Amino acid sequence: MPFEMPVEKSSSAVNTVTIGATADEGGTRLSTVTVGGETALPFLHFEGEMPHRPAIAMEVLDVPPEEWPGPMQEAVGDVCGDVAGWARKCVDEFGADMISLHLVGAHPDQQDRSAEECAQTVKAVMEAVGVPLIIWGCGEADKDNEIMPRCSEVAAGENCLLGTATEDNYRTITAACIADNHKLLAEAPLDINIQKQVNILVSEMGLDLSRIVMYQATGGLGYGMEYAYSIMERTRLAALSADRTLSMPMLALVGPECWKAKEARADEATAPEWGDAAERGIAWEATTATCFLHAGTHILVMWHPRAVEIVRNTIDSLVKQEG
Amino acid sequence: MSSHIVVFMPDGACVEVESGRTLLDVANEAGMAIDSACGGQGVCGKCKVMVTLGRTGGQAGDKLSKEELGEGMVLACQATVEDDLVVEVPVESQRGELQILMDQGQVETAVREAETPLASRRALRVGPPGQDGGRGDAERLVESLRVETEGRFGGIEVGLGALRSLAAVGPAENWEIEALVGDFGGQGEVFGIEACEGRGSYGVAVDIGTTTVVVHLIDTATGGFVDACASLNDQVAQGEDVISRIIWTQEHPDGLAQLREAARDTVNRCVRELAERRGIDVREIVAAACVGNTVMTHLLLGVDPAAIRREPYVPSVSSPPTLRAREVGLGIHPEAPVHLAPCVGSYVGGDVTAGVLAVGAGESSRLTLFLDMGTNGEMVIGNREWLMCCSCSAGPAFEGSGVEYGMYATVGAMERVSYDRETDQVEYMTIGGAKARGICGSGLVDTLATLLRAGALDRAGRINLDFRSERVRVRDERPEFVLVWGEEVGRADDISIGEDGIQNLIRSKSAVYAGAETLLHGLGLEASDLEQILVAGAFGNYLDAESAVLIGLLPDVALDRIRFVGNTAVAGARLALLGRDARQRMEGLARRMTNFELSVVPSYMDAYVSGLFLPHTDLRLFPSVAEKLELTA
Repeated sequence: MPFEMPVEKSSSAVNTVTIGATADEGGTRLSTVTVGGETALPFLHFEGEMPHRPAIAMEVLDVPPEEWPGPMQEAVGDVCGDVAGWARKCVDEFGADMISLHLVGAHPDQQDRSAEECAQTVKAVMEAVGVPLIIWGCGEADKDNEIMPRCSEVAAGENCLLGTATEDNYRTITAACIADNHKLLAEAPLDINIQKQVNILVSEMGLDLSRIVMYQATGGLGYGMEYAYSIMERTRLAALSADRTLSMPMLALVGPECWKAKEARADEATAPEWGDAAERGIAWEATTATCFLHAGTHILVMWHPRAVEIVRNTIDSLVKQEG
Repeated sequence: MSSHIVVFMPDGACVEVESGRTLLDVANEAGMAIDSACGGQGVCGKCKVMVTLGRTGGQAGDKLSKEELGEGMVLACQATVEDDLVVEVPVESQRGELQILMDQGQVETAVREAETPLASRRALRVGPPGQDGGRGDAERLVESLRVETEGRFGGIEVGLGALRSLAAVGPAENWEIEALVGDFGGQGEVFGIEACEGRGSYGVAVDIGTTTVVVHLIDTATGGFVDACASLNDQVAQGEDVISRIIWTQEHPDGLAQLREAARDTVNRCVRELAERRGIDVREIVAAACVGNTVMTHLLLGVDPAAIRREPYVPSVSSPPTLRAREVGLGIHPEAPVHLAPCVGSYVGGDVTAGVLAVGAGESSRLTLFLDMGTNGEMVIGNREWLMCCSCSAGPAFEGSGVEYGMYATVGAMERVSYDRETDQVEYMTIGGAKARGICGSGLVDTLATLLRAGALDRAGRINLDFRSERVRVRDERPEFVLVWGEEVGRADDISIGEDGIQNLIRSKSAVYAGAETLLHGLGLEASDLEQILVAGAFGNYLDAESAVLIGLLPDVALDRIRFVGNTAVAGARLALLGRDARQRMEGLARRMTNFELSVVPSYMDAYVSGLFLPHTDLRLFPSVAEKLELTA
């Protein structure tokens, strides 16, 4: 008897979200990124549509990272003190689809940078690259409420992705997104229900659900990856069963999470049995990213150019439709 | 004679009646309980109501001021129906404490049942000795009692204490004596003999809640309500919920004795207070009917409740026998019978059995959800054919615990609250019309609903700090909304609601809603199948159905299907106190109810988590709320 592939059809789709605006669209981006729109689980082309490929954003920080692991130092160490140059390198040399700018320098425990300084950073990165931007605050609620409106303002019209709105702090950033026409990154702590609630809360402030991307917190390989995986998978299933409050594309913070792991960072002298340190961290990051692709992630935020290359190749082969 | 329509606000109860009847009379028929201490004589002035539409006849009486008359105030017991009327019953005129709205059928039942109370005082004329073959005093006493009670008891015995008194009191009183007769499971027992000195015959209906103990003093001769008293359960010091109390008994060598004492002391304190207030001797209280959840029942009896927490979660006793006050340690007549309402299982107790009895859910043809909101939220779904029940841990938030200005529903508690965004004013009513002291359950439900509607609160229960009102502020780093400025009521601090309290309330309401949802789902039913939802508990004198649905405490059904029935546990205890039939029916109900164990249903936790939002994460379950809040489901 010939094998017949069981096919599950879904009537609803993941929201389609575009980030970035070209000159025609009122911005200055040279390219935009569109994700979402699937009507099936990831890469199951025989069950439904997958109109857009997942995107890779590379992360840049506004202050040079401390204790940068060896392979990262090697790859971008020369530019990590110059955020605009770093971003340019990510796009020009490493082919990043987007730049994910993390304003860690604004944190009161870091350099406590002012809203104006942060806005200038945003502007500089914006001018350095032509790809769309993801802009993250420093993670301290009060400080973010200070800097994000200003950063949003200088990027007005560029259709950036601003993050993050959390259950406890969503009003200011949501208002900024509405005012300056950006997309919003809604964050939840690995909790489907809270994710849903954050989405509802921001939408009730007047930001349409179609302008949200979800960030559900990420665990790297060996550090809760499977938990994040199942949360994303459940979210995707909810989207396919027409839950409008969970139908947004998802983002995973792969690079920073992976390179925290001692397995990714440790040099060979510390852990000789773990093998080549130059390859290990990259493999760690690429493996995590690949897993999340299968969970349904739309935007991968990554660090190492080699890992980016591996994952891009994987995406190429996965989106290629047979026959 | 013509007939007229009379509508009573705020409940909206409506009746059509012949003209000429008094408003008090008509209100009773409509199920609107109006206070009247003097029994309708027009002298106590407690039944003031406001006629907002139409004209009434009858006497004005001298209990109303000129201003009140000008406002359309009348005494309900004096004013008569001569027109179609809309009558506003102010909170202070609504009958306090015992607010259970019994329909006519139940009232009649109660009266009939007063003929077989748990214990009564009976005046007897015992034949003098030596006239009928030398039968003893006790035997002659039993004989006259048998005649007096018309064979209602299977047998009648005389207790040792009574025998001793009889020997002394009988001859001294020329055999005209009073016998205290108790009903011990159908067997009569004379447990006291006294001279006829005009002593009363009272009983207490006792609701031992995890957080609150409520005692009603009842006249067992007439079945009438005399007075009520409530107190925080002393056991609260040993843990807020039943589980922590059980743990206490296990971790402390004297834990069980300590909790037993605490329960007993709380009840006895209420009993003493009632006796003092009414000027009676506690020995005139000749019966007690107690209801409590299963753990409270165990603790009151000093029975180790450990089994309740251990697999297979079976209690040591479900249906205790009728005991004596001295055995239980109650401070009433020491030999008085003490009835304990039978429990269904470990987590569905006698309070639920009593409640189902009081609201008649087990006899109704209508599919009913009966919900008793206490620290443990218990619910029963069913009708006269079947009854399913479950229990969830709701926590004491709606009893005022865990909410900064929360309080039990007593005098001074804000029981209705509404906020007007335009004027930035909070309107409220307090129990007894006293100065606001805090907010009780119904007021908390209203508060969440009104602040959500105004936008001062988001759906996660967080205070909107961008909300333009002086009432929104941050105190000790905690956002809060001020309901009553201290100066308005002569207090140093302002009465407010803060985010911590709101989160506790949301957890409570979600536990209850998720319980109902899971139980319905387990039965293959939808909320829309429910023909009535009866809500009991310590909310206060009223619960606004619309507010309760708006915050997601109750399922989104037509509001006229939801009725607040007050403290049904104590109402059931009162029925048990007054009638053997009620006591027997309670046994039957406890056996008929099938327990549905929520803890073994994995979807309960999902349902609970989804409910941690106002009204719910899934708005499709609350279409009417979505409409009111102008949201899309």
